[in-house]
Amino acid sequence: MLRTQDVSFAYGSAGEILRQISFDLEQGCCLALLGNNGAGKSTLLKCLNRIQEPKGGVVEVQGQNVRAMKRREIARSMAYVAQQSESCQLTVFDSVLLGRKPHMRMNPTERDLTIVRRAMERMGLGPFALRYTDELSGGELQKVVLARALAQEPQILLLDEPTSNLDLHNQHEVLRVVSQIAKTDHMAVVVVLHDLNLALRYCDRFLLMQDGRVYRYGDAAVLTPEAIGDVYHVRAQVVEVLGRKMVVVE
Amino acid sequence: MKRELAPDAGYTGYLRFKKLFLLGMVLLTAAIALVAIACGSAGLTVGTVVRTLLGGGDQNARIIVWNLRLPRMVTAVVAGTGLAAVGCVMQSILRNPLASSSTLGVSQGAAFGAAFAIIVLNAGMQSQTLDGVSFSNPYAISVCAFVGSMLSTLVMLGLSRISKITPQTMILAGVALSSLFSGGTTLLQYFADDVKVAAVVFWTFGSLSSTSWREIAIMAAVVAGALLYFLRHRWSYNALQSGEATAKGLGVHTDRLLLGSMVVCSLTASVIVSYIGIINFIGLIAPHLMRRVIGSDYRYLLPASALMGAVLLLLSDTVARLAVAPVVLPIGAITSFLGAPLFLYLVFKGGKR
Repeated sequence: MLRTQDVSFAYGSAGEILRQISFDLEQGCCLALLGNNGAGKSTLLKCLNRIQEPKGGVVEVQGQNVRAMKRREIARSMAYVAQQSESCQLTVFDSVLLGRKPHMRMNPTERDLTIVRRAMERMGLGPFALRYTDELSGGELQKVVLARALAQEPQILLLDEPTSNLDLHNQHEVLRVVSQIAKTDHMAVVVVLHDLNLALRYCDRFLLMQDGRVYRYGDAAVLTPEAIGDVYHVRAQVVEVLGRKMVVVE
Repeated sequence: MKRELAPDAGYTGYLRFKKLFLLGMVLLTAAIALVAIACGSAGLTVGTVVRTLLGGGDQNARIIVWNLRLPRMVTAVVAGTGLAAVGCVMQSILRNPLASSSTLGVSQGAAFGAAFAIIVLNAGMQSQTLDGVSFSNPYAISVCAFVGSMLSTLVMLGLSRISKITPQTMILAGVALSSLFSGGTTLLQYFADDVKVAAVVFWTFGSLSSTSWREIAIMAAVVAGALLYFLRHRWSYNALQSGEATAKGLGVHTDRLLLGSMVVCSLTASVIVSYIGIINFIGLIAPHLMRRVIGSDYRYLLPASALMGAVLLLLSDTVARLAVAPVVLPIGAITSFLGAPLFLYLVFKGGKR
C-alpha cells in the first residue's frame, strides 16, 4: 500500500537529514518510526505526504507516485496529524469537518456530515461537538485531531508523536483506537513514537532510524538489545511480561 | 457558546444562530446608515431619508441625501467592509492577532504611493470646499498606492518566511516600515508646493467626503472581488488555524494561499487608502470584536467582521461629523481613538487570540 524507495531530504544546501530511506507497508499494518531525537523521524513522516518536499527518491501510495499527485489528492489518501495540536475558537464539530476539506467543493454535503459524526463517535467526541477546541484538555484535543484525520477517509494515517502530551490512560486509549482502526478500515498507519513499549504493544512493524538512515526494519524481532543499544545508546533488555515483549532499560 | 448537545440537533441550531447573527448585522448596518444619513444640520428624519431613497421627498432632501450624505455613507460601508475583511484575513494567514493593514505598514506604504501620485504625478488636489481632496487621476493614485503597499507586504512576507518571528516582532517591523514610509512622505512634501502639500496633509487626515460615485464604484468593485476571493478560501483559512503543516496535510497550498491573499489584501487596502486616506484600526478591531461573539470559523467570521467594519466606520464618521459640528473632525483620528486602546490591550495580553 505504501512504498518508499531511496527517499532523501535536505534543507537547502545543508547536509542530508534523510538518506535513502526504503520500506514497504501493507494495509492493516501499523508502523512505528523509532529513533533518537534528530534521527529524522518527523521529517520522514512529512516527506511521505510532501508537507516537506523530498530531495530524491520515490513515495508510492497504491502504486501511484506521490510526486505526480495534486496536494488535494494526497490529502484524500493520506491524513497527517502534527506533533503539536493547535487549538482555536473553532468548535469540535467544525474542526473535524475540516477533515472533509480535500473531498468538499464549497460546502459540506450530508454525506460529509455523516462521516464527521461517525469519526466523532469513534473517538468519543459526541458530547463535545459544540465546544471550542481551545476549551479542551490535551487528551480531548488529540482525539479531535485524530477524528479529523479519520474524517479524511485516508488509506494511510501519518501520526507524529500522538501520545507526547497525554497521560497514561489516554496514551493507551489513542493508540488502541488507532491500531484497531488500521485493522477494521484496512488502513496503513505510520506513527512516530518515543516509547518502545507502546510501540511493541500497538504496532506490528518497526523502523529504527539512526542519523537519517534506516538502521533496522521489520517486525518486533528487530528490537534486540543490541539494536536498541546502538540507536538509543542505552543498555536494555527485551523481556516477556504477561506474555508481551517489553523493553527494560538497565 | 459552550453548549453540549447532540451533533445533529445542536450543530444545526448553532449554524442557525450564526446565520441569524449575520442577518442581524446586515440590518444593523442598514439601520445605522439610515440614521447616519439623517443626522446633521439639515434636520432630516429617518422617515424622510427612507422616502427620499425610495424616490419621494422634496428637492432639498433629495440633494442632501443623494448628493451629500449617501455617497459618504456608501464610502463608509465599502471602505469599512474592505478594511475589516483585509484585517481578518491578514490575522489568519500571518497567524498574528495584531495584524492589519495599518499595523503592518501596508496602509502607510499605500499612503506614500498616493502622496507620490498627488505631488509628483499631479493626480489630485485639494477641493475648493475644503472638505477633502478631488482626484484628477484616481487610477494613477491607486496604482502608486498599490506599489507602495506591496513594498511593505513583500518585506513582511520575507520576514515571516525567513525566520520564526513573533507576532510582536512583526508589529515592530510594521512600525519601522511605517516610519520609513512616513519619512518618505515628509520628504515628498518638503519639495512640493503649498497647494500640493495642503492636499496631501488634508488627505492623510482621512476623509469620506471626497469620493465621487466613480471612485466609490472602483472601491466597491475591488472590495467585492476581494470578498469573493476571501470567501472562496474560507475553509483554507480555517485549516491554517491548526498550523501550517496540518493545513498542508489537509490539501491547502499554503505558500500560494499566503501570497495570493497578501496581494489581494494589499490591493484592497491600497485602493481604499488612496481614496479616503489612512483609516487606522478598523481592520484590527472589527475581527476581534466578532471573534468574541461568533468564534473564528471564517465562514461566518469573515462576513461578520466585514459588516462590523462598516458599522464602526459609519459610527466613527457620524461622531466625526457631529462631535463639534459644523466642523468635521478627521475620521482617521476618531478610529485611532477607538482602536489604540484595544491594540494596547492586545499587546499587553501577549498577542494571544
